[in-house]
Amino acid sequence: MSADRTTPALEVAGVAHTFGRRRALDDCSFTVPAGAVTALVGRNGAGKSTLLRAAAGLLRPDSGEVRVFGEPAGDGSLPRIGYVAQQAPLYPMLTVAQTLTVGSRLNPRWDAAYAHRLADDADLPGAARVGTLPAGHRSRLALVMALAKRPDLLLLDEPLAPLDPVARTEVAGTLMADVAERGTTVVLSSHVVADIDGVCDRVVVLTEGRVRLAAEVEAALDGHLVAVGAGIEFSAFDSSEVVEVRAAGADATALIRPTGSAPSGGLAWHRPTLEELLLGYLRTPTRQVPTA
Amino acid sequence: MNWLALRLLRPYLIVAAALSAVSAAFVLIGARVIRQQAEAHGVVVADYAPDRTGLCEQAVSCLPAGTATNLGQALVLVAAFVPLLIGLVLGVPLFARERDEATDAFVLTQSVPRLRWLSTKLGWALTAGALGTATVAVTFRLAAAKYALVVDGLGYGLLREVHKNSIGFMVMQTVFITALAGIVGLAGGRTLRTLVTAVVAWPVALVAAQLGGLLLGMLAYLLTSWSESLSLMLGTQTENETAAFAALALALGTVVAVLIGRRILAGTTARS
Amino acid sequence: MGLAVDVIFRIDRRTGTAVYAQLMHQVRQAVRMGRLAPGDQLPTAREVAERTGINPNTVLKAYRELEVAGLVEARQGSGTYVRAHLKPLPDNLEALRHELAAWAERARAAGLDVSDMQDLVAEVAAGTVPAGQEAHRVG
Repeated sequence: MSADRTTPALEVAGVAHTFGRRRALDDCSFTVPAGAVTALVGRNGAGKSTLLRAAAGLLRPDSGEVRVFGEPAGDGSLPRIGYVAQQAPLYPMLTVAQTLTVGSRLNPRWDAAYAHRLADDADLPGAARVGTLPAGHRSRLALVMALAKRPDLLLLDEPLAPLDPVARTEVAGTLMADVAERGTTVVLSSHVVADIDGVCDRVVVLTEGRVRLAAEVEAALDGHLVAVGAGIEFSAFDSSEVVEVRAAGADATALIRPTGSAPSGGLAWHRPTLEELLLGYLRTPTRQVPTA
Repeated sequence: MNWLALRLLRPYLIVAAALSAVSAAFVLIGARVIRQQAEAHGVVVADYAPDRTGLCEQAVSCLPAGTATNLGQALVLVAAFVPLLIGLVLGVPLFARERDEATDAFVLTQSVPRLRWLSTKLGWALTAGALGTATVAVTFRLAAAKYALVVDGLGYGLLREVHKNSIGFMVMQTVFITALAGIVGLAGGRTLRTLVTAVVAWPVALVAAQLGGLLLGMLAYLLTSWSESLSLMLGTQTENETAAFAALALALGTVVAVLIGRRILAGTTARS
Repeated sequence: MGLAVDVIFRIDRRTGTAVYAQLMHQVRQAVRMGRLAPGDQLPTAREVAERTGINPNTVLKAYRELEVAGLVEARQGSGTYVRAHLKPLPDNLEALRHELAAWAERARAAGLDVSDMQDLVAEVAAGTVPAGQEAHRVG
C-alpha cells in the first residue's frame, strides 16, 4: 500500500547486544526488502527474539542500528509495524471484544471490519476473557490484533508454534492473503521447516547471535549441493565451500556451496531440500573446516 | 488509552479506594468515640493547635485510659502508615506487574508513543493516590489530629514525625512512594523486588524529606531576608510550615524520580 | 473458486521439489487431465495464498514460468487464463514414449523401482548432473 518499494522494510546493521554477560547478538547485519516474507531461523537462544524485539523498538541494542522503512525502530515506526511476541502477550482480564476495542483505540489505521472477520474465522468468542482462552486461541487473537493494525511490516515471533495443524494452515493462509493483497512485509521466526517452505521467500539463519546465512530461498537452494560419498573425497573442495560435513563410518554427507566447477569423483549429489540446507547451517555455528 | 490505563489499574484502584474509605471512616468513628469518652470523664480537648499539646503536659496522656487511649494510638498508626500503603498498592504493580507478565510488549507496540502511554498510567496512579490519601488526611486533620497530639510515648512521638499532622505531607508521601515504586518497577520489572525496594526507601525518603525541608526553609529564609516580616515568619517556622517545606521536598523528589524514569525509558527502549 | 484451488493445488512440503515447481506441475497436469480447459481462469495468487498458505510471490513465479512455457496467458488486470491455443504436443511424442519404455524396462531389470526412475529422470532433466558424469545414488 504505502510501502515504498525502494526502501528496505527492515535494515539491521552491525547490531550487537548482551544481557549481562550473555552475548545475544553479535554484529548482525541483513536487509529485508519490502514485500518479502522472511524466515528468521535459529536454535533456541540464537537471538531471534532479541532481534525481533529490537525491530519492534522494544529493546535498544548496545550497538548497531535497526531501521524500519528507513526510520530508526521506535515510536516513529510503531504505526507501521505489527508485532506478536513469543508468548502472544495480551491482557488476560479483558474479553476478546474489549481487546479488539483497545486495538481500535490505540491504532489510527485499525481496520475494525477486518478484525471482526478474522476473529470470526478463528472462532474467537467475543465475550470470553482472554485469560480463559486456550493457548492456540490466544495466539490467534494476538495475530488478529497485529493484522488489523494494518501494518506494513509484520514481526512474528514463532507465530505458528502454539497452533494445531488446522489452525496453522488457516493462519498461514491469512498471512499470505494479506501479503498478496497489501504487499505486507513479513519477518517470522520459526524452527519448523514445514512452516517456512513455500511460505517464506527469504531466509536468515542465526547461530549464536550471528547471521550465518541471509539469502533468497530459491537462490540458496540452487547455490548448494548435498554430496554423499566417502569422507576422503572432500579434500577436493576448497574449505570455504563446505558448509557442513557429517561422517558415518567411511561415508560422509556434506552440504556444499560450490563456487567453481561441479564436484567430481565417486560422489552422488542432489539439490538440497530446504530442511537439509537449514540443518546444515544450524548444526555448524561457525564455519567448519572439514577433517578427513 | 485512558480507558485501558484505568482498566489495568482497576483492581489496585479498588483496593486503594477501599483502604482510603475504611481508614477515613475509622478516623471519624474513632475520633467520635474518644470525644464521648473524654467528655464523660470531664476532659476537654481543645481544638487542634500545633504549638500546644492540648490540655495536657508533654508526654502525659490525658485521654481516659482504655478504649480512648487505644483508639488515639490507632489513629496515629493510620495517619502514619496509610499514605505509605496506598502508595505501595498503586505504585508497586504499576509497571512491574506488566513487565513480569510481559504484557508490556503488547501495549508498547500499539501506535501510541511509549512515553505517552507510561505517563498516562503514572498520571492516573498519582492522581488516585493523592485523592485517596487526601481523603484520609483531611479527615484525620479535621477530626482526629487534636487527639493524636496528646497521645504519649516516645514511639508515638516519632510517628508524629512521620505524618506531621499535615495533609500536604501525607499526600506527598503517597505521591512520592507511588512514583518511586512505579519507576523502580519500570527499571527492574520484578514485582517483589520493587515492593522491597519501595518499603526500604520509605524511611530514607522521610529522613531526606525532613532534611530537605529544613534546607528549603533556610533557603526561603535567606531569599526573603529583604523583607523583615517574611524572614521573621520563615525564621521561626511553625510545625505546619516545617511540614509544608518537607512536603515540598517530597514533591521535588517525585519530580526527580519521574525524570530518572524517563532516562531509564530512553535507555532501555529505542529512541523515537 | 475456492474449490478450484483445492482441486488444482496440493503441496507436498517433504519432497525436495521447489514449491513453485510443484505448482507448475499441477497446473500442467490439470490441463492435461482436462480439469482446466482452454480459457479457464487460474485462481488468483491471493486465493491460492489464502487457501494453501503458499507465498503469493511463489504462486506468481509459477504462473510467470507457465506463461513463458506458453501454457497460460496473463490478461492485464483480469487474471491468468489457460491459453486457448495450446502449443500442440510434438509429433514425435510416441517415439519418445517408446524409447522411454525400453529404458524403463532396462532400469527395472537393473533393480530400480518407479521412484528411483523418477528421481533419475528428474535429475537428468533438471541438468544438475554434469555432462558425461554418471550419477549413482548412495543410500
